[in-house]
Amino acid sequence: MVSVLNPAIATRFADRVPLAPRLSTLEGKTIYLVDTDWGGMQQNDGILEEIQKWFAQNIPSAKIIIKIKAGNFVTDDPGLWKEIAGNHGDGVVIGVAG
Amino acid sequence: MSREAGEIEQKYHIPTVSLAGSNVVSFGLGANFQYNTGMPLRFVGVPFPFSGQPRSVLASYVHGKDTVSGAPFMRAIVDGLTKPLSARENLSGPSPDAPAAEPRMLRPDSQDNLQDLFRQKGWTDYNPVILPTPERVAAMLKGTSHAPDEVVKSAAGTFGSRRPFTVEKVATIAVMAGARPEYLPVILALSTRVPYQDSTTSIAQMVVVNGPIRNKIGMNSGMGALGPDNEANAVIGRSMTLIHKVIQGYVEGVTGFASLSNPLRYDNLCFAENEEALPPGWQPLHVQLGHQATDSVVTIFTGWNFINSTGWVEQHYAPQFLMRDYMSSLSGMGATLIMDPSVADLLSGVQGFKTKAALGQWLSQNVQKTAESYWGNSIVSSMLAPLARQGLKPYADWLGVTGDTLIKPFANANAIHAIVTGGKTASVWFATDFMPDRGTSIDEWA
Repeated sequence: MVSVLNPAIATRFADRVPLAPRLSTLEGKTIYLVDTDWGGMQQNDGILEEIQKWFAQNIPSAKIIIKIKAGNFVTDDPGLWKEIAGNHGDGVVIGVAG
Repeated sequence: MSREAGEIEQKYHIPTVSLAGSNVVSFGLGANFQYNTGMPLRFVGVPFPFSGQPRSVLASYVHGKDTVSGAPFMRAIVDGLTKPLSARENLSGPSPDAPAAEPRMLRPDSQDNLQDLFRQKGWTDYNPVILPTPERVAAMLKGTSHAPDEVVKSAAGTFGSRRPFTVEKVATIAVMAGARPEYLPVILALSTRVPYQDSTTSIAQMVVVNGPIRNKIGMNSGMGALGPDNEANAVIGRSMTLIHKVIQGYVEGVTGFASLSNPLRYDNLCFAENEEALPPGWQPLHVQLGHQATDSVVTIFTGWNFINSTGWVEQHYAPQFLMRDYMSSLSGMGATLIMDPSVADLLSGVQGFKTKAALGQWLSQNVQKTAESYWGNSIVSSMLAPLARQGLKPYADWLGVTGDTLIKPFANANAIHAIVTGGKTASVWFATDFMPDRGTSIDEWA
C-alpha cells in the first residue's frame, strides 16, 4: 500500500448571478443584434441580417438595430452596452461565437 | 461572448440571448457557467460550421432548429428574451452545486491501482507517472525556498476561473513528471503562467529557457536540442502538460475544444537557447525581452506553425531568402526563427545581420503575400480586420486594395524573433509563427 499526495485542485464554482427580468412581449420593443466580430470579416453579418429579416416579417413593430462591437472579438466594448441602455434597448441578441 | 452577455444582463438589466456554434455552446452552458460567470445565460445554437457558409445556408440556419433546445431557431430567440425566469435563473449567491473538497492525501492503495486512478482522473499524459509519495514531494520541495503552502496563483483555470494552487501542488506534479528538485524553480515559474492559451484551432506552446540555470540543470541547447534526448528538456516539457491538465483543468470537450489540437503539445517544445554560440552582437532572447543576462528566465511562446528548412543552407541562396519565402505562408502577426548556430554565423558573418533585430527588420521589409491570402487567415481576419475597419494602419490600407495586391504582412519588425540553438552538425532552421510572452523569472522561485 502506498500513500500519495492528491494532485487535484480544489475548485470553486462561481457565485450565482441572476439573469435580467424578461420582456412580456417583443411588440414595439427595440432589440439590438450585436455582432461580436468573431471569425473575421462577414462571418456573422449574414446570420444577424437573416434574423433582422425574420423580425421584419413576423414582428414588424419591433425595431431591430444591428451593431458591430468595437475592437475585436476578444475585447470588451462597454461604450456600446452604455449606448444600448441609453437608447432604451429592450433586448439584445449577441453572437456568434464559434 | 459570455462575458459581454453577462455584463449586459447584470449591469444594465437588459435580457440577452447569446448565439453560439454547436461546437462550443456546451462550454458556455457548462464549465464557463459553473466556474466563471455563475450566470445561466440563455444560449441559442447554430450548426457548425457557420463560418465560410454561403448566405443561403445561413438563412436555412435561421429558419431551422436551435441546436440547444431543438425548438425552431427564431422561436428560441423570442423565448430567450420573453420567457419568465426559472428558479435556477433567479438564483444569487453561493452555488448550491459546490464541488467536493479535495483532501491533501489520497486513500492508500497499491501502486497499480493508484496508476489506474491517476489515469482515470486525467492526471497523466497516458504514460505512467512517478507516484507523489510524501517523501518524494518533500525531497522535491528542497528545490525551492518557498513554503509548501504558499499560493502560487488563484485564477488558474480556463478564462481565469478559480483554481487556487500551492507550491506543494506544483512539487507534486513535478514529481509525477519525473523532475529532479533542481528543475522545480523552472516548473514553478511555468506554473505562474496558467491558464495557457487554448483554442478550437491548433494552437500550441513553446518553452524556452535562458540564463545560467540552463547549464546548471543540464538543459540541452546543443546537438538534438529540439529532440527527446535530454532529461531536463523532456521532463520540464512534460510538467507543463501535467500543469495544463491538472492545475488548469484542461479537458478536451469540457474546458477546451481543439478540433485537431497540435502534436507540438506533446512536450511543448521545451529547450534552451545556446547563448554561448550566439554571434557577436546577437543578444539572448531574455535580454531582448528586458531581463539581465545573468537572470534565469523561462519564456512561453504561443503559436501554430513550425516549418522546417528541411535541408541545410545552400551557397547560391542565402538563408534569409528561404526564410522570407517560407514566412510568406505565416499570418504576419509574429514569427520566431529557430536556427542552428551555424545559420546564425552565416547570417551575421556572411550576410551582415549584426543583430537579431536587423534580421527581423529585413524580413519585415521583404516577406510579401497577397492581400486576399492575408485576410483569408481567420485568425488575422478575427483579430485585425475589425481594427482595420476602425481605421488602424497599416491594416486599414490593406482592406481597400485588390486581392492580388502584394502586402508586407510583418508590419511590426519587433514581432520577428530569433533563437539560436543546436549543435552545428547541419545549417538548418525552423520558421514558426510562435509569439513570446515577456519571460518569467526563474530566480524568484529558487
